[in-house]
Amino acid sequence: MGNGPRLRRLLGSGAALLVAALALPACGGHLHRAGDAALSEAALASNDALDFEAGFRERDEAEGALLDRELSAARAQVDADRDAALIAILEDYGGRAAWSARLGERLAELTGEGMDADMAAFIERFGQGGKDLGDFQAAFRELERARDSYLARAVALDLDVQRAPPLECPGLDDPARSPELDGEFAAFTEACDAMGQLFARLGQGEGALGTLSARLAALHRSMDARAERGREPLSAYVNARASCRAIDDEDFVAVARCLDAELDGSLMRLDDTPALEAEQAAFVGLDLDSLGEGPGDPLRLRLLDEQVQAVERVLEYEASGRFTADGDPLEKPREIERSEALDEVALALAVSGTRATVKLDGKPRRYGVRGSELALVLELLSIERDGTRTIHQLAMHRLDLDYMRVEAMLRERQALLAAQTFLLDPGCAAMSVEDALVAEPGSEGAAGQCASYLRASLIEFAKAWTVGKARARESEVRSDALHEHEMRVRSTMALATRGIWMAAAIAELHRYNASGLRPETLATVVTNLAGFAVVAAGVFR
Amino acid sequence: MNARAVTLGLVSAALLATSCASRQAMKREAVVIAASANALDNDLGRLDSALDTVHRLRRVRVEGDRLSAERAARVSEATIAAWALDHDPLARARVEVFHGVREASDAIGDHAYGAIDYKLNVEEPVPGYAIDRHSLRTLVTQLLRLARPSSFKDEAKFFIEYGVQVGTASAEGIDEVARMANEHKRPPPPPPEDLPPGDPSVGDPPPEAAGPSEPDAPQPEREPTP
Repeated sequence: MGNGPRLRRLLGSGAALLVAALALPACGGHLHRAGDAALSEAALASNDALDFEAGFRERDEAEGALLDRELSAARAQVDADRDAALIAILEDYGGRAAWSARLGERLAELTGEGMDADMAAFIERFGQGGKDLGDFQAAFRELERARDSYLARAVALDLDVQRAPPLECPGLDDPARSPELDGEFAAFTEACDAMGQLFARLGQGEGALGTLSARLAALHRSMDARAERGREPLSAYVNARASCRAIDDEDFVAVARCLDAELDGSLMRLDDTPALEAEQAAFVGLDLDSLGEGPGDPLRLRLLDEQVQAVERVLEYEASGRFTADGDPLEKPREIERSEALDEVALALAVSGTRATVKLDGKPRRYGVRGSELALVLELLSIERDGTRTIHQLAMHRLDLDYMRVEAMLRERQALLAAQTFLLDPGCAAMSVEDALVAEPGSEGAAGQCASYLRASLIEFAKAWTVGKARARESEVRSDALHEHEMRVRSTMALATRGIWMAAAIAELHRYNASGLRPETLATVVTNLAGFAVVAAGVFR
Repeated sequence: MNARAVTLGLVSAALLATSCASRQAMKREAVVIAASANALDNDLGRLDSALDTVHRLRRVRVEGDRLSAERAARVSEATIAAWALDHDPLARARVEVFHGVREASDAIGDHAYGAIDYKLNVEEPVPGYAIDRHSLRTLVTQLLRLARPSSFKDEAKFFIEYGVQVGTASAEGIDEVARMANEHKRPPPPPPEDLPPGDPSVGDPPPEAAGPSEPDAPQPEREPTP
């Protein structure tokens, strides 16, 4: 190789250039390290193996099986209590004292009043009990009927969920609800109010029935009040769209900023409308405080839904490179299309508690988004929204179980009142249980009639367990299981949020380690530099 | 000292110059993530433990309820059996009324609520979060390995290996450059005088490579050799 010295000089020049090229970016660039890249890739794989979605399946199955056993054990206990009570009455050698004592004791627990003094008092109380039970059943049926009518109307009008939001009692009127459902919504609200008033009436009584009814009445009032005060920020959010556009419809940035400010204000007002102290007590008394200011709050859920949908659409715009809100934008007047896009951008800006940024370039119909940041925001919001929705549903199911418990108590009270017939009938006053047992039911005379009364009264007495206590116990057991489930969801929401942040950090770490200047790339640079140097030397020789 | 050695030395020096803050920042980040993963693992352990405790307490309560109900049921059965053994009319009536009342109340209880739905089918499993804690611990270990500060020996080894890889990969290219340089330096052989201009043997491109041309068209002049 007769060209050696010159080539070495050339290489010296190339290497000098190389040093300069590498030193220039200095701290900005880095070298690829295969070991670090392999480790970070393994870390990424380990993190992916953390199955946040699949989870706790075995535990859920175990919980389901445990609930079945709890329900079965609770029912067995109620049946055993009933059988023991029946035996005690049938074996009552002292006459009828055992029956009177048991009846009076349970009635007092339930209503605060023991056995009736005489037949007249019994008839009056029995009539009132029947009316209360009938009113409750009618109110519940009316509630269901009003809900069905609302749904049927929504289906007939082909309305989506946003324009026909699900009805709950006590519930929230959504500002986005279609005015075409006003009539059905008013009927449902009326049915809810009637139910609340019935609870208030039953709550004037004493005992377990009165206490539970009073708490439910307070809950109805407090949720109505909360919805009333929360409606203002929600309506403000809806109205902001029109008022902001009125500023300057041509100035995209100004409009978006106005919407952002308005929505931030609405969110703050929403956060600043806590339940009143008295109302909070109702939530706590029923262990349903998650429906108040907690993660099960319907107002909070409504807002989270809005935010998730907005971020999803902004990401969709970003992916498609054009505005695609609600159908084909090409078929829409430009003004409508642009208005929708403005709303979405403003909502994305209003995502609170995140670092998401949306860059507006000041030109109508164009904006830029940091997709990765919004994707992270979307994941975090989705966890919160899904958890909130689950907790809300669990809380509303527990509220339904409380309704069921009220009906079970009303039925138990009615059965216990009816079971007094034999004990209060003047014709049977002198007859013991033993005598009535051996008498032939339906036979001639007082003995036959009392024998019939005894058997009918005993059936009513036993019914108090099977239509009353058993159902109330079932409600309690199910409610406890759902409450525990809610606690589990709350914990897992927090864990999942941490998992999302961790995954994002690990992905960033891997991006760093997977990049960097690789040896083969640098070798190519060196070769090219040498080649350039040779060519340059030839040219300038 | 040959060209490869010079290249290797200079490249290594350049690489040392670029080894700076970004990698340290990455290592600090790995430590933070490892700490976060470790904390998550600890919290998961506490959550698992708490859930197990609640589950165990519920099982204990169920077992207690079941035993209590069974004991009461056995007592009742014994009483009923005693009545059944007694043949007097009162005992017979007691057995008859007991069974009749129980059956009637069971039947009424089973059908009392059929018309009203209180959304009782609510125990569908809601997705929870079963994190494989073994994977989480592996993750912590991997991150800590990534975050481990490099020793001087490790760093030197890396740079030498990196330099060797660059040198090896670039050697072939440099040899090629040297060959080309030598070729360009060698004077070309003079063209034989009896051959017409454009003869393929002296380096003109073949007609196919040169593109279509008229057979009688004048050939372009050859570029001067540097």
